[in-house]
Amino acid sequence: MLEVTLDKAKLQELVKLLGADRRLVAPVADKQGTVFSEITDPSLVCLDAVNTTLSPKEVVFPQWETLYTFEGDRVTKTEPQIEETVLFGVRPCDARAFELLDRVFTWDGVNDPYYLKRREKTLVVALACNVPGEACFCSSVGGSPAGESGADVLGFDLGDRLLLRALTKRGEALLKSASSITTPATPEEKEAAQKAVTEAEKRLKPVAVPEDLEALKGSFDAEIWKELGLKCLGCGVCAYACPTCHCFDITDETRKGVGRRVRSWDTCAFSLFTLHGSGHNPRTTQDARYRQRVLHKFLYCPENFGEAFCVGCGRCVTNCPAGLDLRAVLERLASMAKAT
Amino acid sequence: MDPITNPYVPYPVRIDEVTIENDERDLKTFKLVFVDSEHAKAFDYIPGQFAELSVLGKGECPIGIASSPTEEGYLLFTVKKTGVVTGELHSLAEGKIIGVRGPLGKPYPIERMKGKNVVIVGGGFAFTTLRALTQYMIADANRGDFGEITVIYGARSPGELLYKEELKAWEARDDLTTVITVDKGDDAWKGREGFVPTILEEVAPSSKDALMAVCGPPIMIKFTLPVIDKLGFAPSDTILSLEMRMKCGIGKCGRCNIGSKYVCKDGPVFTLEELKALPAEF
Repeated sequence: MLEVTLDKAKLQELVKLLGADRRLVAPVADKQGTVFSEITDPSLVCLDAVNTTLSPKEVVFPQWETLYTFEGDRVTKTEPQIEETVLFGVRPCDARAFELLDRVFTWDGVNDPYYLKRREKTLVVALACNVPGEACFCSSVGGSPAGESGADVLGFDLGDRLLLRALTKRGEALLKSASSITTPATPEEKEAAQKAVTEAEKRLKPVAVPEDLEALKGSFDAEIWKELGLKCLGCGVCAYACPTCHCFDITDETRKGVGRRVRSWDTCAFSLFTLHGSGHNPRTTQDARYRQRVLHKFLYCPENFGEAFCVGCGRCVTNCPAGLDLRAVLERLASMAKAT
Repeated sequence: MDPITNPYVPYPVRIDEVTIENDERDLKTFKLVFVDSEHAKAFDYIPGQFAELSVLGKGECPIGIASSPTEEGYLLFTVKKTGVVTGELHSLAEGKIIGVRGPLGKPYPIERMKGKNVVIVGGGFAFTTLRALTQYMIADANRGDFGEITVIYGARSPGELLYKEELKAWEARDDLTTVITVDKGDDAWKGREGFVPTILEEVAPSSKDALMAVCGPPIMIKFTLPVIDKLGFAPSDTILSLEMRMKCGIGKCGRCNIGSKYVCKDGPVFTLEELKALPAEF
């Protein structure tokens, strides 16, 4: 596959070229940190942050979107206009999350047209991490600071240059569209990229993740959930910040007979999530709700999709107002599994 | 725009008939007719499946399909007035257009039931998809495919029994055994009195070459399961239907997840054996 090098001084030019006939979404420095945002001014692109405050999942699965509009008893419009998009500067963990989300939104051959249309129209340019963040643990959950899953192009920061490697045909075409400002990567540059990855991997602190699914199943009634449930505020920030959480709600909004049916992110951390019309609620306590989130990711998803739905980005760790650290929870579950 | 290719878009249907089912008037059966005949063809269902009933501007709610595909040209849904959507449905008159999204979920295992005796045990307004199953099995074209059919159905009071006229017709048939019971009768009631588990034990249908389909309120299920066990029905031959809060109905939104199963796509029909393998979160 094609590998090219770009002088970092030409980053803005690259952004301009890639976004020439498409929407370009990239990290931008914000008061609250770094956020993915649509770029109109290439000088705003900021590749310094390891993890943005929120993951870029919103580009393929918006926090809020119209499924269709209606007037009276008639559906009037579906299928939103979705633009061709380049998602630039995505960290490999977040790119890998797209590959996991793909499985849900095509599960059992039932395709989600909204997600898939956005996904098809989004080119992902990932950027390998040289220095992982404090809460990062991608390599403990099957990822890597230079993971290729879910991306079309993977970039490596070589200090004054970027090495860009095409991973898919679409990625190759994208790189070719910028060939006027890039040069073919030299063996030395490729070696430097590899070295950076090895260094980054060394910096990651390994986390023991429970892999014995039967043992994890056995933890269902364990005391640990009571303790964690007491701490969990049920605020849902972990799910909103998570690149793989995908639970959603569907609600109607109307004004004078004209309205829309929308879907919006939701989370199993909320007490109303499973409340039946009858008043019955299968998960009445925060213990049960916190357990659901952890087991869905680390037990039910491995059973259904063969992989845990966690990419180790650490956002749930850094954002939790109660200081719940998923890494510590995983370590404890793994050691409980060993003890049984 | 197309409900055939977009699983989130409901098929428009016309309310053709509304039947008030009970004395409390909070259970109504809606007879729905597709506006577009192509949609009717696309809605290919089997008893046990459900659909999302959709009132634009109010929302959707998952309801078991009470009709059988052998009843052509319409769908039946029996809806209890509970929340925003069902409340709105109850206020709608014949002729109004609503939406139906489906069919959704896994049906009763009809193929496994063929050649077997089938025992149906229902309680209260959970009888809807069991009605569909019974109606399917006793349809002229299908009756020969099944062995003896026994239906045991109970409600709190005579006025709370669903499908009263139909039950009379079933009782009059000699190719199925219909046992109707109420917790407590009134002055006019000449039938049986007693809770469903007790009556099931009295009737004591044989578990030999038989499958059992059970649906009812949690309290009925709790006391019926030991009887089923006593009668010798294996958990793999005991079939139940679960209720869960749902939104998408197609295994995406995560709301009805229990263990590694999603009630909307892996159920709502499960064998007791499958349910025993799930965490008790339903």
